Amino acid sequence: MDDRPLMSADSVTCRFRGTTACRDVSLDVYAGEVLGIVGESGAGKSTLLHCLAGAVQPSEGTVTYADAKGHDHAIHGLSESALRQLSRGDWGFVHQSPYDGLRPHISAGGNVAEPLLRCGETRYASLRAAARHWLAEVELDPERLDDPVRTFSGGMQQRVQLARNLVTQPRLLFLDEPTGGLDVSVQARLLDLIRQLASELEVAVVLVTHDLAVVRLLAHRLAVMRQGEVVEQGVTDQVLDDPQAPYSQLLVASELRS
Amino acid sequence: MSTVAPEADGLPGYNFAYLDEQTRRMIRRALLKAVAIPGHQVPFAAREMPLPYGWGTGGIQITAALVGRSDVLKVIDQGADDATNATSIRRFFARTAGVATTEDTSQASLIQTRHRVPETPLRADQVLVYQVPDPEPLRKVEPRQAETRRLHAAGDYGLARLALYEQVARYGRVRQAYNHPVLVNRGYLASPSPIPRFDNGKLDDNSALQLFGAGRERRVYAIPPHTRVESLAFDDIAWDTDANDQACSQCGSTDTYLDEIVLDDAGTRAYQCSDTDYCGRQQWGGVGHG
Ligand SMILES: Nc1ncnc2c1ncn2[C@@H]1O[C@H](COP(=O)(O)OP(=O)(O)OP(=O)(O)O)[C@@H](O)[C@H]1O
Ligand SMILES: [Mg+2]
Repeated sequence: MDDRPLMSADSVTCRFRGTTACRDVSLDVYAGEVLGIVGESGAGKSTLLHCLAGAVQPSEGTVTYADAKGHDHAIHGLSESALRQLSRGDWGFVHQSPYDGLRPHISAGGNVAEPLLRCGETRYASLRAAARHWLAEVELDPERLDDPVRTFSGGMQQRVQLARNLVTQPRLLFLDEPTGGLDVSVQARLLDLIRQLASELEVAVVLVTHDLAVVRLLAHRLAVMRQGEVVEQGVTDQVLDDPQAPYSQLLVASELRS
Repeated sequence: MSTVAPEADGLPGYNFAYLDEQTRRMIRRALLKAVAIPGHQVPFAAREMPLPYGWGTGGIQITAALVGRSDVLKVIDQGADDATNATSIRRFFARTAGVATTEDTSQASLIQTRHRVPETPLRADQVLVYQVPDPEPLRKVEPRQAETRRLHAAGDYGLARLALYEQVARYGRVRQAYNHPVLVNRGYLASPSPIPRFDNGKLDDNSALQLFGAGRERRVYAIPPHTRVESLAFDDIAWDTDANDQACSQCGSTDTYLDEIVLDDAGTRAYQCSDTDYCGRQQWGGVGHG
């Protein structure tokens, strides 16, 4: 791991009319690591993730991204096109619902090829080859290349979403409950795949979940959120074995009981 | 187009070519802007026309804004001068502007068209006005208008190519027979209006000024003379013009766009030039053809 973070949030606060969805959050994401963000429903995990990914403008605070050349970008000060370029080329975002991240009536291959098309690829053969390659990487049957993704199961759709977000070889991948709503066995296989790909491709991952078992399996480091605030962060094993904040203790205790 | 102000010798307050002079000026201003930004859709305050949308109200307004007393007007619908739509538009301008009309492409100074580009090559002193039912080439892939504007502004046409990808993946080739989008001057993606793919090549480097009008959507856009126009495609798949290997049963042409005509209940087919003026000239004009 590099000693300089890939992305840093500094005192990020995000309000929606009445509610403060996240408050004064500071955290770092390092190259090649998996950072888990856990917390109960409504804790502000998704809001924070969208702030990091530049999709939601924080009310206060900054998010800084260091690109491959080592240049820092305050992402919320970027022009629309500069931000689009980063989020297309350098980042990926996997949504909890495949329908937020896929085009259901477009083929699996088309869904995977789209980010390349939007980065300017104009050769059909390259698009085909990339679609084939990445569907294989997420262990989908190449025979289904031209089937519309609405005909796929939920777990398979998440695999397509993963492939679509890896095809541009991003440096940073945001995952918002990527296994939510899936059967336990399907979940386990998908998590395994994510872990394997993240380490193979050396992509940094920010993973949001409310499931401690998921972060135990995947995350190197962990941030625990409650009511919009990060109440504790650190190396996953340390936080889970010896939680300091009362809320983390409660969270770990309730996991052991269930 | 006449350079003389068309109302100069008319009665004061009398409207030449249906529209009042203020409206004609407004449309001409929109057209100037459109010519300055090739392929870019320019909004204009479309007027009610005595025709329903879908009958060429956008094209008619452009023609009405440009036509002058010395113009010679030709109107075609699917290549034919005598189709109902073409006849009624031609009659409309003969009545409201008193201009001369013709079926001869080479005699016309102003040509309004629906769904075809004439086979006879156009000249620098001619203007071709297209009737456009839907000016937005991205509508099929992105229904949200705010988003299509953003895509045009960013020159982001990956989504449009995604639609082509799907066609090639499923059918082995690009299947879009009409209205295949074009990149104008390496900048904006534009709808060529529902002309057959066969005609797309005629848009490129054309000597005439090409203007496009959409009445319902209140947009005009333009391709200035000798502008580079490319059909949206993949770099590694050759552009298929969709030409068939038939000859016209009337004039024998093999390089024109042909309509297929079913002759009897047994399904006997014949092919015939869709451009009726061109076809007639090939038959009777003594011009050699191969
Ligand atoms: N666009 C929005 N407009 C108004 N309020 C919002 C918006 N997005 C989130 N909120 C509010 O912010 C708070 C945090 O929501 P968020 O979706 O970030 O939580 P979460 O931790 O992701 O929850 P879950 O686990 O249920 O997905 C909630 O009270 C939510 O209602
Ligand atoms: Mg959430």
